[in-house]
Order: sequence, then structure tokens, then C-alpha cells
Amino acid sequence: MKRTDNDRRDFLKTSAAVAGSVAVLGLSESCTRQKDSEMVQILDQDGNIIEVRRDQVEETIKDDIRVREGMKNRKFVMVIDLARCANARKCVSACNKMHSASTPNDWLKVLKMSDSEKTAPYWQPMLCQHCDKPPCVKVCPVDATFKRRDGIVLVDNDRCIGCRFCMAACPYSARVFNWEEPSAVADVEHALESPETSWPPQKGTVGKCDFCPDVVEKGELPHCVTACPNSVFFFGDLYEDTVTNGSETFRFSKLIKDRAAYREMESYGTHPSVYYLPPSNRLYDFEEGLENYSEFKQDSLENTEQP
Amino acid sequence: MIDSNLVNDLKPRPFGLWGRIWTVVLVIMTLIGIWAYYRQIQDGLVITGMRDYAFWGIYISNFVFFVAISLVGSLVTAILRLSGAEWSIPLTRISEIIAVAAIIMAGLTIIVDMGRPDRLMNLFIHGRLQSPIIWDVIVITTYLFISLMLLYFPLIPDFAILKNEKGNPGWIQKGYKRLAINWNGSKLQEKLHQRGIFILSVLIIPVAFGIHTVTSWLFATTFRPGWDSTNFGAYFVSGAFVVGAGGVIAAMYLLRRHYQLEKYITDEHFNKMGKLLVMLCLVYLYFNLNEYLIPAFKLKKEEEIHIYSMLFGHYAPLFWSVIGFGLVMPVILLLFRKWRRPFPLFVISVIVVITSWWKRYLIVTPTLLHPSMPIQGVPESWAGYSPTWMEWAITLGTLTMALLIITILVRFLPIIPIQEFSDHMKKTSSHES
Amino acid sequence: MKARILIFLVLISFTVEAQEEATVRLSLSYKMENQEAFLTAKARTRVGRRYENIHGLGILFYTVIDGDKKLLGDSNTNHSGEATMSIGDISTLEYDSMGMWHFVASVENKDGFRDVDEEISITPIKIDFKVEISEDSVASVRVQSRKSMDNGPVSEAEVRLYVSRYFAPHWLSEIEFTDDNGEFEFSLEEMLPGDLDGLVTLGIRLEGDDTGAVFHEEKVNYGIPYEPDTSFDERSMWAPANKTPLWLLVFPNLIILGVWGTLIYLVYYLYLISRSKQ
Repeated sequence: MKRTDNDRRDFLKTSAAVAGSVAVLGLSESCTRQKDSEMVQILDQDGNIIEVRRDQVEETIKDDIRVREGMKNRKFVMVIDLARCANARKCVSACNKMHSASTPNDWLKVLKMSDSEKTAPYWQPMLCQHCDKPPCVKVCPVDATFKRRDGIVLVDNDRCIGCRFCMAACPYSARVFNWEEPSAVADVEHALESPETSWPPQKGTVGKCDFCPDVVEKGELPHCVTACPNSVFFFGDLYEDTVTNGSETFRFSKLIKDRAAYREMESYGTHPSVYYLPPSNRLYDFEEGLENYSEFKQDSLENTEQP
Repeated sequence: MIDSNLVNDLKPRPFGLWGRIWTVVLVIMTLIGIWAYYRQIQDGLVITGMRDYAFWGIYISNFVFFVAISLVGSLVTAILRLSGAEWSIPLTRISEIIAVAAIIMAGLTIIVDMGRPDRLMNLFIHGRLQSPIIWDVIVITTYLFISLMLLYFPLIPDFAILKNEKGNPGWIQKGYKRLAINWNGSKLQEKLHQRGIFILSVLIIPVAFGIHTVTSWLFATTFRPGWDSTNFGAYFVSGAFVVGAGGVIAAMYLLRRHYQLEKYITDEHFNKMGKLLVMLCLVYLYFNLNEYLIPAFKLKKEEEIHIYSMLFGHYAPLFWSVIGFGLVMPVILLLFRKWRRPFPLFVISVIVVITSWWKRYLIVTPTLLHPSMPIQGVPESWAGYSPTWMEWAITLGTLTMALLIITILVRFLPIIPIQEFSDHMKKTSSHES
Repeated sequence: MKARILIFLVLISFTVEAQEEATVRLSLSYKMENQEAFLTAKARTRVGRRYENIHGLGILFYTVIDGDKKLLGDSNTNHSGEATMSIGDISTLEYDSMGMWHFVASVENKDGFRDVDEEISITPIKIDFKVEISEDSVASVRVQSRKSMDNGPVSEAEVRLYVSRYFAPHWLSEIEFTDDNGEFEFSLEEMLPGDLDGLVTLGIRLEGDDTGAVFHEEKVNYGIPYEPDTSFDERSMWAPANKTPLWLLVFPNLIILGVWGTLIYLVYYLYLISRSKQ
């Protein structure tokens, strides 16, 4: 199955390259209607060769620009209410399920935090902070990770060279690496190959939380937000000044003010898009979360050559 | 005219038995490394000990080591040449050969570390000038070219001498003739030649500083404890000179012994290089002091964990060995003349080179294991780093490949610049008379 | 490929159960948004002890007037087991002598499922929605609802004001009730975050006896325009290669040109050397 997958991907790449040159041809000459309706062969997502109109191929290339530009007139933010988090870990499992990832390659971790000996411990969901001044994007040599107009930071798995400089630059340890060929299986809905779905993960490239742009585009909330039984996560558009967890909707600025929100590692000047509400007046005892907690997980990667 | 004894002494010779054994061993080690790398391409970086926290390991340490040792070319050839230290002339070729081999291997080593080496061209197609990696790509390419030029320029007259020598297969002679580019020692040629070498010597110094400073920026441009330092450029450059000097001393001892070059590489050369090494070690110690004392004084929370693990914790044995044997011991011993004699100096230099390699390891990996967010939700082994045998095989393969490049160059190039040395001798003898 | 296999497996699992036909639990709801009415049927079936959503089940929608059944259309259920269809032009949709619509959703002749239908009755109403903004930026939102048949007031209906947002409505009031005239008036003291033109979409949700949930939205000039973040269009350290900061283009390239220019000059030296005669 793996093998055929690879072949398919390679084939897709070839056809994409062909499509690219076709499009350039089409753009350089003035496109007449006749030329537009000419048929070219291309591979569809189910692996069948199909014939499409040439102008549709151009559409795909425009799509790449759209993916890198992001949604116009939107700027997404997340608010995480630490007072409600009880380490239920439904966000982690939903995220892994929807992105065909698995532990220990979680894009979202619920960390057991304790800032100092005497201060109270708390649970902190940690994911990509989608910084406005993302250090990972700054250091990427090939523009494989990029910041969009709508605030979302994505990874182009087709371009990443696997240097891992972005992992070094990220102070939040939000990035994971595909050390081996990912064994992920696509869900029906996620077969679309795009940085917006982060699908498919590829060996030797990085991965991370993508704020689920494919569902956000449809007006739906990211999977971690909808999966959380304690309504910890709020998501919304900064321009609308509104965040929601599906059942409750707040004025973002008011929520931030009333609950004295903060951002993680503000002093680094990364300007994150994720805000945390401090764990005061908690809904759950910290101890409740210990049930689901273990500091370390089983190693699922093969590592036979240990000395 | 060049003294024919001189030419006889210095011209490259086919390998004897030991030379052949040495080469075969290097070839085998390199092939093992290439095989391991082939496995890595097939299975991915999963065959290494690196994981999501320790995502850079001995490949990157090794890369920094190669970049560091390549700086020797600029130290001995350029800085000493420009400062009029003519005693260094017999050492220039050796150091330039080491520099070329090291910088080639630095480039290859960084490819070894890439998750997708098949997409190397993306660096040129999609390169962003904002990324320090692109700066490194540019400066490494430049330094490689300058180093090749600085190796080649002084070789031109030597090639002209060698093309008339007998005892080599025809294709080698043909190669010498081609590379001598019609050198006849005319006034114009001499002038162009001299000026070329001078310009290169000037040009290579900023580029050499650039290459290692940019390499240090790959670390210093992040927020991580132990890397987040404004001292890093100078720290790396000074460290590079230490390992470079150590490398040259080790190489000149071995070559002198093997080719009986005692007349040309004298005890005085070792004496002077020994003194130079003391000075370089002191400078590097000074930067080390800055690098560890200041964070240790302030003890910022993240730095504290990092510094503690270095000075007293998990990495303390390695850390103090590196500082003790690699920097403090050479400084103390080499203050005494008897330790600056060839053999003791050779031993010290080898220790300096080895500890320098481990020093790069201490710069790269411990920092990664002390991130700002706690390490949780991963297998326990991911909170540490132990390189796999495959990883060691590849790393050793790159080191032996560097030695192989040096060996091949030594086989075909005169180890001591014949023309330059002869000119130098003439000058000194006319001074004396 | 995989997608097909998965769908195939889902189908198989249903045909296996077909040996003994499953009972579908059907629920039907009606919703009106800005004069467009939707019917949503949710289909679930019992699997073991739990009810599970049925995906990909065809649902037929009918309207019934005085015993006459007329097909409106059909729709398949999604992953949440919901099939939604728009009724289309409701102004031509006839109601019965009581002024009511009757809708039926049904499952008919589906392999593995028993036939089942579900009916609801809806009183069609009209909404009158007026927003007045005073000079000191106080907005009053007047809502009046009347029955379509006789223009009679819909009193004691739940009504709630919201501002339409991307993911979910943001409620601006508590649930209120219309008075005997079917009216209610909301008052807004402060302007709301709006779009670039200062527009916001205000809406109400109204639900009376048998009316279903009726939404009415209107764009009004009661928004504070937002400051768009222009950093994406600027040259910056975070931008792609085509938006590299100018200084970062100029200085490194000057250095590169300087160094490589010199190197090319030195290659030219080599050429001169090779050409030089004794």
C-alpha cells in the first residue's frame, strides 16, 4: 500500500509539473476559448487518469497562490481557558484522528505545567501559536512554512527540505518531524492534497498544528475546539472581535480584558495568535487530570540500531 | 632555476605499503559510511538517534567541526602570509589542502542531515535571503571557491616544474601540463601571480570569518538557552582557529615523518606553531569564559538548567574533559619548550582536535534537550540523545572521506610549495650574504 | 482509491444488516433564514445500545395540503446524519385553511431500512425588521411578526437579537417575548465591530408556537470598521522571497557581487597567465 502511495504521489508530482508548464504556455500565449477547452490528462485524487480542460489546470495553479495567501478579511485567533482544562485529552485524539497523526507525533499536547515550586500546577493545551512574527517562518530557507493573510502559519510538505531549522527557532516546541515514512491512512474527507489539510504527511519533512484551514474555510470550528468536552478552546476572527467554542460566543476583547489573558513567552516578540486565560477559579481540580497523564509515552518508531 | 634536489625531495610520489594500507582503510570506512547513508535515504532519519526534541545531533556537530577546521586555510595561508611570517611558507600547502577537504565535507555533511536531500535544488529555486541557511549556502560556496583558488594559485609554478619530471604515468603528467597553464615565469606572469595570491589572501579573511560567523548564527538566531548569545560569532571563529591549528600540526607531523621532510618542516616550525596554539587556546578560553560565566552569573531559569547540566550535571564529565584536555592542558604544557617539540606537540594537537569535535557536540545537543516548554507526551528516550551506530558510521564516513580527499591531494600535489620555498630560500641566503 | 474502499466498506456494513431491516429514527425541523426556508431531517439508527447517525441515506421531502402529497425534493444525509433541503420560493407555497404548512420527510424503499416518515406543521409568518440609529449612535431594533395568512400578530414568541459572526451568531440580548402586537424593541448602546465599510449584520431569531425557528438578518451601518493588518503585503523578515526587505536585498548582494566580481577578475588573471609569452 505504501509503495503504491509513493508511486501515486510521484505521478501526481509529474502531472503537476506537466500542468505547470501547460499553464505557463497557456498564460504566455493569449488564451483563446479553443485553447481553454483543449483537454489535458491529469491524475485525480482516486488515482485515475482523467481528462480535464486546460483552463481547469490553470485553476489548480491559482489554487496554490490562494493557499499561500489565505482568506481575505479574516484574522484568526484562539483563546484557551486554562481554568476549564482537566486534561480530558479529547482535543489530542480528535486532532490526531482528523490529521491521521498518532502519538508521539501529536501536534497538540496537553502539558502538565507548574511554573515554580509553590505555584499551583495546571494543564495547558499547547499547539502552534500561529505567531504574527513567526520565528519559524523567518528562518525557513525555502519558504516551505509561510504566514498567511488570515494569520495562519502552514507547512508545504512538497517543498520542505527537512533542515529542521524551524524546529530550532520555535520556542514553543510546536513542531514535529516525520522521521520515517508516515503510516497515516487518509480519512475520506481529507484525501485532498494541500498545505491546508497538511495532507499527506511526508517522510523527512516537518508537521505541526495548522488551525484546520480546510474546515475553517467552510465556517466550521477546528477539530480540537469542537472535540473538547469542557469547552476550553475558543476560536474566532479578530476583525469581528468574536470568539466561540460552539456553544458560547464572546467579544474577544472583553473576554481578554475580563479574564486577564496572556500569551505564551511574550518577551520573545513572536506575537502569538493564541491567548491563554489564567487558571483561576477553576472548574475542575487539577488532580482530576492526573488520571489521563503520563509523562512519557511508548515509542512507536522503530529504532533497532541502538548501541 | 630550481635546485633539482629540492624538486626531488618535494615532488609527489606514489604511495608505499603504508600509504596503500592507509588509503584502503579510508576507502573501506568511507564505503561503510556511504552504505549507511544509503540506508538512511531509504528509511529516513529514523535510523538515527535524533527525535523531535534532540532533532540535531552529531551530523550538525560534525558540520560545525568541518567548517571550523576549514578556517585553518585562512589562518596559516592568509593571516600569516599577510603578517609577513615567512616561516609559515612550508605549511601553507598543507593547510590549504585541509581547508579544501574540510569545506567540501562540510557541504556534504549538511546534506546528510537533511530530511529531503532530493529537494536540495529548492534552496536555489525558492531560496529566501531572510534565512541564515541561505547565507550559509552562499558563504560556503564562496569559501569553497576561494579556497580552491588559493590552493591553485601557488600551485601553478609547481605544476610547471612537475610537468618536466619523470616517473609518473602519462595521464598525470598531462594533467600537470594542463594545470600549469603555460607557466614560464615571465615578468608579467610573476606579477599577476603575486598580485593574485595577495588579493586572495586579503579576500579570504572576511569570507572565512563570514563562514563561521554565519554558521554560529544558525544557533544564535534562535531563542534557546546556550545558543541565544551575541558572543557566538567570535566564540566560533576563535574556536575554529584552535582546531585548525591543531589539525595542521597533526598533519605536518605525519607528513614530515612519512616523507622525511625534516629539512623543510623543522623543529622550529613546531615550536612556532606550538606558541601560536597557546595564543589561540587562550583567546578561545576567553570567549568560553564569556559564554558560560555570564549566563551562570545571571542564572535565568532556562539557562540555569542548561548551565547546571553542563557544569555539574549529565554533561559535566564531557564538558570538563573538553575544557581541561582541549584548552587548559595545551596552554600549560606548551608554555614549556620541551612540550613544543614535534612528538609531544603532535600528541597534544591530536587531543585538541578530538576534544574540539566533542566541543561542537556540547554546543549543539544539550541545548536542544533543555527547551522552554517541558518535554512530555513523547517516549522517554526522546528526552535524551544517543547516536545510533548507523549515525556514527555515516559520521565516521564523512571524516574518513575528508582524510581521503587530503590523501589524494597529497599524492598528486607537492606538500610544500616548491617554487615559493625556493624563492624564500634564495631571499634569505642573499640576506645573509 | 482509499476513499472508495471506505465507502464500499460502509455500504457492506449496511447490507449485512439488511438481513433484518433497521428502524430509522427520523426527526424533522424547519428553519427560515431571510425568506429562505429549509427542512432538515436527521436520521439515526440503533446500533447495539447507542443511536448512530446514518450517513448517505436518501430522504424525500413532501408538502401536504388537505391530504394531497406533493414532492418537494430529496437530499442525502451527511456525516452528522442530517439531510437539508431548501424549500425554494415560499411565496408560492400554499397553506391549508388553518394557515399552516405541513411537511413530511420520509424514507422509502431503502435497502436495509424500514419505511418511515415524520411530519411537522408550521405556521408561516412574516417578519418586519427595522433598525434606527440615532445621532448619538444608539440603535433601536424593532421587530414585528405577523402570520402570513391574516396578518395577525404572533405574540408571546421567543425573540433574541444577535450579530452575525463567521462561526456562530453572537447574542446581544437575552431571550425576550413579543407583545400582543407581535412586537419587540431592542436597544443597542454601542456600535459593534464591523467590516471594512463599517457594516454589521444584525439578526433576530424568533420562534413562536408552530413557527419553527425563523431568522431574519440585515446589514446595517452600525459597525466600527476594523484596522486590517497589512503586514502580509509588506516586505518583511517573515515574508516569502518576493517580499524580502530591500536592505536585505541590497547589502548581501553588494557583498556577493564584490567578492565574486573579484574572483572572476582573478579567473581572468589565470587567463592572462595562460596567454603570456616568455
